[in-house]
Amino acid sequence: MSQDRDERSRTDEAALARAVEIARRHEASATAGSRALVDRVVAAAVAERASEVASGAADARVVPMRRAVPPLVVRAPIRRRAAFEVAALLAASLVAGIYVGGLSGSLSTALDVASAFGIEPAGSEVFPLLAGDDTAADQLEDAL
Amino acid sequence: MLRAITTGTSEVAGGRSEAEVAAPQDEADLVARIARGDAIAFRLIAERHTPVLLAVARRLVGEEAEAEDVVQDALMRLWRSAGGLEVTEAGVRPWLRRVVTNLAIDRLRSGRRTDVTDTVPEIAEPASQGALSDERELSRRVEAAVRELPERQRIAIALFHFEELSQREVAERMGVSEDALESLLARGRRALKKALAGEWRGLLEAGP
Repeated sequence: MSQDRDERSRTDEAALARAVEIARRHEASATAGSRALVDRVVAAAVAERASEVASGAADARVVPMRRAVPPLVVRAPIRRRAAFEVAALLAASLVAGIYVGGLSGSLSTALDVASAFGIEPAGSEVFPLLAGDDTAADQLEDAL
Repeated sequence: MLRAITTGTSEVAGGRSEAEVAAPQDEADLVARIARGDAIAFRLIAERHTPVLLAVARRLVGEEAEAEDVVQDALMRLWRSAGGLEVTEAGVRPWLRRVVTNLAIDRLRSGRRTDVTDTVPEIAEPASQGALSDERELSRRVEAAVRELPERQRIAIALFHFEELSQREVAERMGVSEDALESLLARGRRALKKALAGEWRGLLEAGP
């Protein structure tokens, strides 16, 4: 009984192996639809390559945009110079303001305080504008 | 050989195209040309292998349109990656066959295909008396019987018997245990025997 089953199994295996062998041998002969498929695949491949080439050419034609604003490396010295100029202008304004303000009163007062402590100016020749009671404007008018 | 490569598509004696006649040893050169974007070389390779690749794909996915999609994807992979492909003495067919198999399995797993269990058009008809003498007719009946199998049995039979993968490889690709694969194969063989009952004795008598 068991021998019969084994024999039948071996026979079936042999028949199946033969069926597979025949089918594989004739794989290439079943050409239905293959020509049309080949045409379609080749067309798709050519179109894909053409698209890639066109895309590459378009990239090559792009003109790189120039930056309207200089890059940070270039802008740093410009900023430093601008800051220096602003600081210099402020300093000059401050000095001028102190000078004019001193002439109009506060510096005179400071000199009075200094003389109270026994510190005298070198003389009217040295600071002619500070020697009299006239204001700076009066003295300038006299001088002119 | 060079003439076969450059003319390509004309028919020669016996109904086979020159592309089919060309030996695989020229395929390294053809693949190198494909890598440089040579569409003629690509057509030659496609013409040479498409019928076989379609047969492999049909067995796995079961439906013509799906099989054509799989073969097209495989050939496009060759077109795109020919530069990195090492062609052995056996030519490019083993690589293409493997790619078709993988793509078909992926497609079945992802469920991208339509269910074709009710739409397989070919039914294995009983063989007429003289049909067994015609090997080509017999091969068509075998292919039709394979396509009639339920999907998992069909994949198991196709990968194990036709693509000659080991049981372990088939089980891995199908995502089943080896025991489950054994069961699928046994049921598939029984179904094939039943479908090819008229041809079974003839197959044994025909011999290799």
